[in-house]
Amino acid sequence: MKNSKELEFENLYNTHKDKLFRLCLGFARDSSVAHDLFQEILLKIWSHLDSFRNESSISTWIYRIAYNTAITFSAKENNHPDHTELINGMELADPESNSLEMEFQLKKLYEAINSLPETDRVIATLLLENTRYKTIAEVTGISENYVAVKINRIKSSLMKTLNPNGK
Amino acid sequence: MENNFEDMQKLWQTQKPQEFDLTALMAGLKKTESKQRRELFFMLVITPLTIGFLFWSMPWRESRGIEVSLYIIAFAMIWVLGLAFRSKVVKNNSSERFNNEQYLTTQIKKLKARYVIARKHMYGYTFLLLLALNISYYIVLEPLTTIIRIGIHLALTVLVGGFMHWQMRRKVKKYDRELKPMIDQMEEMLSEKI
Repeated sequence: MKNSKELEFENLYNTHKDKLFRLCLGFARDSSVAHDLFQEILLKIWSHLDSFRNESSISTWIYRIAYNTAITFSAKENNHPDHTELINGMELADPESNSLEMEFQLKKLYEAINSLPETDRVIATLLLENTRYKTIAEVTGISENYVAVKINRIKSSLMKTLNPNGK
Repeated sequence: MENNFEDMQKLWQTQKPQEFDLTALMAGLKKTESKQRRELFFMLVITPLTIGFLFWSMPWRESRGIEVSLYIIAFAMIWVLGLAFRSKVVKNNSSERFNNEQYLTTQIKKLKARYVIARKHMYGYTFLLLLALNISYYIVLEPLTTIIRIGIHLALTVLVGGFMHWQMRRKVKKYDRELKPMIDQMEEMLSEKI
């Protein structure tokens, strides 16, 4: 019999796992690292669940935990440059769900995201999840106006990397 | 490749995680959580136990000097425990309350505090430890000749002080390797936000 905390965690996990997983892929350099980051985020959500006080929406709360964990994790990981490159991170995804063409496109997208500075990566991955500017501002701690400025820069940087010929 | 951002979003959102066995995952999380709780508990229990053991095993009622030295050791241990405990508690509480900027600021502060502990506070701890040991030895070695007593005091001070200094140097070097790049990177992240 599951207790209320377990039920709530299960519910949160089912609602947010996809986004959290993609966030990990945006920050990790290989599959095992992404897996470690995913678990670390889940552990933090689990251990802080009792302290959630409805001061923000549960999604914002989860994003805060996830992104704060990811940027610290990323800073730690940058001390170990011997990791294999980003592309191995794709192994975490379900291999049957993507065509080769899609895999290739995703590879380019991850490369483009990974080339961004960490804080821009936070914004880019939130943006790719259709997150509202207000939530992005709450998670990152910068004003909504500045978020908008940053988003324009990030979008053009991603487009430039993905379409070098400027199609 | 995608010509607009919406296509990019669609492509991004096609990624799904491998399914976890949630029951096993929660069991693992609970295990990790209780391990962390146990570590915190031991941290809190070990110091009073050690202090209790010292008072139990040393003849502090018979000598004012030994009593004073035990108080100094107890103070030093509680002080270091306080520093370590504070950094543990802060670490566990910040990620869900703070936005990125506040979180980065806290993390940088916390990592720098570790440097200060290794570089400064541990020398303070070593000084108190040496003071307490020398007071105790001064009393215990009373029957011996002055020259032997001075020799033992000097040897004790050099050995304990040297060992502690060596340990702290190792710690600082380790921090230079592991923490400094992290601090630099976090400061860079913070400056990118401004």
